[in-house]
Amino acid sequence: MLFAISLHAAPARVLSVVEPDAAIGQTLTLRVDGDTGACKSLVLFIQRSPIQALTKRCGSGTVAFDLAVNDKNAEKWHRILGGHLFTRTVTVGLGPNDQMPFVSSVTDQPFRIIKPWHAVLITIITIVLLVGMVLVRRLTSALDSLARMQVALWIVVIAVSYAYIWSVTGETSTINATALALLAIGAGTAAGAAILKGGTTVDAKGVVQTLANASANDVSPIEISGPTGLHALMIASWTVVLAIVFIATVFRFLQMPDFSGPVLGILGISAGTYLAFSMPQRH
Amino acid sequence: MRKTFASLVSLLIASVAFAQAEPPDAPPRPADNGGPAHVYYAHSYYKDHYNRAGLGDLISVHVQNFNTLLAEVDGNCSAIVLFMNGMALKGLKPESCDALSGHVRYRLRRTEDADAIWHELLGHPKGFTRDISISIGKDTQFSVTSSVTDFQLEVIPKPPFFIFVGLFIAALVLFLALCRRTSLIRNNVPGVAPQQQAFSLALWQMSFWFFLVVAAYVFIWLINDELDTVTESVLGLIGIGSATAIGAVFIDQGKASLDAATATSRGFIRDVLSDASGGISIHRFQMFVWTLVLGVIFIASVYNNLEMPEFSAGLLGLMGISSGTYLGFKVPENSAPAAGPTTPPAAPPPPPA
Repeated sequence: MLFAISLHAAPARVLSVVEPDAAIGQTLTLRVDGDTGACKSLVLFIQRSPIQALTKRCGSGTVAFDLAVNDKNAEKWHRILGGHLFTRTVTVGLGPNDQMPFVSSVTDQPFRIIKPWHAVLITIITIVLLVGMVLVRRLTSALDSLARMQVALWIVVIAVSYAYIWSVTGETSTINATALALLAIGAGTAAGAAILKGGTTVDAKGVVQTLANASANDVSPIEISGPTGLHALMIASWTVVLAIVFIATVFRFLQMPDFSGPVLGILGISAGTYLAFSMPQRH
Repeated sequence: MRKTFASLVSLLIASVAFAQAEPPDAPPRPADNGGPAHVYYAHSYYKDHYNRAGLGDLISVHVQNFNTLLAEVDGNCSAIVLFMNGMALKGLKPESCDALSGHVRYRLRRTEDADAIWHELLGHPKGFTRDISISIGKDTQFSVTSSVTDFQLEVIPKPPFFIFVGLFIAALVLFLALCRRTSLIRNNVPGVAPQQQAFSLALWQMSFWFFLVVAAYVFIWLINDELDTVTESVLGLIGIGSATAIGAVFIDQGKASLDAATATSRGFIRDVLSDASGGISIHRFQMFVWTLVLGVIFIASVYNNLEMPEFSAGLLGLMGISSGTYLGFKVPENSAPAAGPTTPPAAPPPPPA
């Protein structure tokens, strides 16, 4: 009798999870033994981290949580779900507050990161956008400059990132100031290049004379190289590096990165150098 | 009785299952003796190396007399501070605490208040891991005694490091090949083949800072996930380099013509240090040396502190003056006589008969 009383006085323990797998948007029901205390103060723990602000329902020996991402728990979910492809296993716990969870025996609960058909759809969209970029560049003059290619690349990267984050977490307001700044820098560079191109006057007589005096061997390399190479290399390299960092951050932390002012400043300087070098080159 | 038996069995199963989450070689918990708290063990949750963790990983700190410490923070688990190598990681709150077993769990991540300490812990790497001591405390000033002195902090994550080394070598080879075979950093002179054109000091300086900053940015990002590593002074250096290169190109554009002697390369060092007269000039020399010196400081700072240096306004001013002097001397170079063979002056017209 004394032993039974002491059992009832012992803190609660999480024994198992009802659902075979868990996912954002679904309900996760925990089988609990012992006294959990007030239902309204119970907190779900995933990977030993508290997930606040979830809707919960307490039953006889069970506590159910509606898994959802909101402002109060988004950072925790990003850490848990980021960096994984389709599914992962997590530990599941329960606590009377957000600091001290009960003992839990659920250490390998499958958790679905993204629906397979969502992943397939995003992959198809990405391939279509990239192939579209290549076709537009080859068949039309819409992407005939590095600046325009830069804008197109950022549009694809940001659109695919937005779709991926939405598919995993359901969040819709994920485009931040950095994404807008990257697009703005690219658009500004493209606009500047277009203005320079439009304002350039060509001395047709000089061109004809130069071509008449030049041989086939010495025209091509000189036209391609020179300052053209360095400023183009700079802007292309920084764009590719930042795009890789952008994509990696989205995959690992499920949020678009916040590039600091100096990092965006470097891209701005590269763009300015690109435009400045374009002026004497065109004349 | 049946219910009591079922509860006992379920508790036993739960205890065994829970024990599996802990390392198999974890030391047994010392009995609480009412004395001060003491850290006797710490581990991560990697099954193949419980004694190692890096940024982003979860660690568990096991404490004897945990309730004594908990009482000192008025039962507020989130007030307990993690110490590494005796330094408090300010702003890093525990993910959770377990009062029964005396465990405190932290996810290792950079916080704004502990940014300098992370640079201290991760900087100047001499291997992939570094042995550190781990403790906790009731505030940021006093840590409890600890037996954990050889926990392996992952300083350089291996896969990202090898990816960086591969990318860096490939980029360096490609960059040097472009510099050598094309006119990437050479004066673009029509009529002279790219491989034979003279190297430009301004374009070399711009490409030098461009390559260093890109490599450092990727390196620091791969090591500790920092995105805001470019300092304003580094931005200033890049700006000075770009402005100098643009200025040099515009000055060269203003030239009536470039003679073949000054447009042809005589080797990298002679090209970047020589002016139109063909001799080594002091203004080019000082700009070249200052760029190299600041480059070495830059690399050392990235390696030692995992951050790009914050050059003072005086140093930036020095670079600006060097570049300005270079551009200033470049203007009269346009009108200087060519050092190479010159065409003899045309013969005077014959006197009228």
